[in-house]
Amino acid sequence: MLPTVVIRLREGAVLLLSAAVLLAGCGGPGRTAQPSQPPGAVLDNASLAAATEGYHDYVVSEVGQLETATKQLTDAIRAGDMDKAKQMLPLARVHYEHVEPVAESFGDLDASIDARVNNVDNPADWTGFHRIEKALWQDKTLDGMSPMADKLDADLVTLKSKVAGETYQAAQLANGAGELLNEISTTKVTGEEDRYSHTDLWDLAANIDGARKCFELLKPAVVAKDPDLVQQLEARFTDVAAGLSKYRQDEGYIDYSTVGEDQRRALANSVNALAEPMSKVAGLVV
Amino acid sequence: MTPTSARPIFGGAMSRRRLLGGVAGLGILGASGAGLTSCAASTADTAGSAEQVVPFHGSRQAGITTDVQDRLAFAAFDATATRREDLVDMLKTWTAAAAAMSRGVMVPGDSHADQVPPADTGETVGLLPARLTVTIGFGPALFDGRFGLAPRRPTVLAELPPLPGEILDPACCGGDIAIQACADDPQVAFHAVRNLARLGRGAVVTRWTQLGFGRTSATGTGQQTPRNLMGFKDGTRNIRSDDSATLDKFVWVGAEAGQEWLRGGSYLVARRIRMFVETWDRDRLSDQEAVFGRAKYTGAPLTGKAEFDPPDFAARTADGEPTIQDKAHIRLAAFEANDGLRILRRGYSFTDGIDARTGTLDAGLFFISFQKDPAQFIALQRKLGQHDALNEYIRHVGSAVFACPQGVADASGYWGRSLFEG
Repeated sequence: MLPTVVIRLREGAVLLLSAAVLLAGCGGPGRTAQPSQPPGAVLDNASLAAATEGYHDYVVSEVGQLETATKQLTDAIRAGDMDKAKQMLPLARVHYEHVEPVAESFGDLDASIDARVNNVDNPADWTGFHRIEKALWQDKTLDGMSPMADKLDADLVTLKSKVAGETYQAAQLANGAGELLNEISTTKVTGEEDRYSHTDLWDLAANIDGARKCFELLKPAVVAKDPDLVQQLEARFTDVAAGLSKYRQDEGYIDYSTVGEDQRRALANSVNALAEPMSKVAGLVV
Repeated sequence: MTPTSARPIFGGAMSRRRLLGGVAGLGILGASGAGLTSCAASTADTAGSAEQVVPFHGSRQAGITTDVQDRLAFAAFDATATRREDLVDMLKTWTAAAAAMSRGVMVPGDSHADQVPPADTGETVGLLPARLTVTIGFGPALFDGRFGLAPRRPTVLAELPPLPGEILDPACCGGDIAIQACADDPQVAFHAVRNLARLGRGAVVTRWTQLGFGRTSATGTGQQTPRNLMGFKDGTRNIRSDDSATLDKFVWVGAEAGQEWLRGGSYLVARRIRMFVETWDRDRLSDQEAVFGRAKYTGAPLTGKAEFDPPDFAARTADGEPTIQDKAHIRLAAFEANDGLRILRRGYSFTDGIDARTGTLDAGLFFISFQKDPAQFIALQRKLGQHDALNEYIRHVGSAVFACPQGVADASGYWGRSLFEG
């Protein structure tokens, strides 16, 4: 007859460590707890430092390319060149999607640059890539878009200055990679991100590339602790890449509205299969 | 009675109840006293757990003749693994997890490290084991060329042929692997399927799932016959778990399997049967009873007085008509009318919102039967699908068949070992 006392799990977790010691003397069944870090495997601090520094450089480089490519987009808008603007929008956005978790960490800046219409309180205040996307593909006019172009340029200058001084923890890289994958499997794969241009596959591939970069940077530290996990992640990155490659066209990807439900589900399944082991990486780098 | 928990195994196999109860002991008694309490309680737990824990290990899989639990979570998976060894690894992981969950302990692995997602998803912490059973089956599609299993495919394991009474929706048909999780607590059943889906990621993807909220049949000798959504007692004449001669004759695969690996197993047939409950509810009581051949409230055959009175199919009314009409459900389904043929039924009621096309409830029976040969079900459905008076009110919309292997004898085994290694 056990007392039934409801307590919060977190407290239970702490106290159970003591319970383990006590129960060990009861001659009960053997314990099979798997420590999250194998004993003997020491954190490779030099590798981790190289990873986080490498990531800083990557983010700075991506935001630099984002600014340059976006300038071509905004110049085209100000010049009224619809075709050029349509060509540049996905090319510019991929750099944003590469480093999205970082870009999202600066308060309202992400909302200003990349909000979707359903994420703003007042559609009149809506700015950024998706506002321009709607003008280009749905409204089919650039009227009133020059101020949007100016605002986007200004926001990217702010972003650039912010990432220049940013530093990272190794676990942030791992969790950032996980966020990129989760975003694909929940909101990107549905086609809601680029609902006007249907350039979702560009973003999706860019998120994968961004996650892969984090993984590659962390790999030297992770492989020492869990080589099987690294092998599994590499295989699953390869699966996702193979799945995406079916949709390549010219220098980009086909219109996502032509990708059927079953094909989208297959993409989501392969990304979920990758995201699961990815969620174990952070625990190995702290 | 006071509910009791499973054995207090710590670590990768932590008792969910112990997590709460044991901690309470520590708080009240202090460290040394709690140690003694834990040891003493573990004995009591083991004794009391029989009410709550259905043993996972055994020569046959649990969840077939086990007294039918109240709730079902069923999932069909497609294998996405490309290598046989990856599938086997997953089955080993699944087996360990299913064994742990059946005992009411957490999924093996670390659920307390801050920087990683917990190994167990956590929604059953503090819940009882709830007689969880987790049963696996392998679909015909698994025996194609992908995993080298083609030579091991039993000849009778094939997708069911087109049958009368069905208009199938591919979204709830087929699958390479099935998991049937049954428990007396819906969250415990769901938790099992959810965690296996998670552990299987990369090797399998979920193809379709079905929740069942109430059992519609009884397999235990002491179990009351429940009612289906039509308000009738269904499965009164089901095979009972203590009738081993009938089970051996109709449910358990024996030497006739042609595949030794399946010996001691059974075939699971799943049919998602939509009931048109709105039209049924507009049918007069006497007609409802005529359709089934039973009295609605007592469950008695129309020729008897009590539920378990054997139906008298020869009986006639004063004006010479059969008392149990020719198209009555129990007449057509009766073993007397089918060369003695029987199946073990284990279905559940479901409801999944409304049918968007008609605004009517998408509700009915998720029919599950176990038999030693799918031909048993096929024969019965050929007959029922054509002639059953019930057909006006039902339609089969989902379908699948799976070969359920023998049980996992002990912790050294795994689901499907006889298939992959035998």
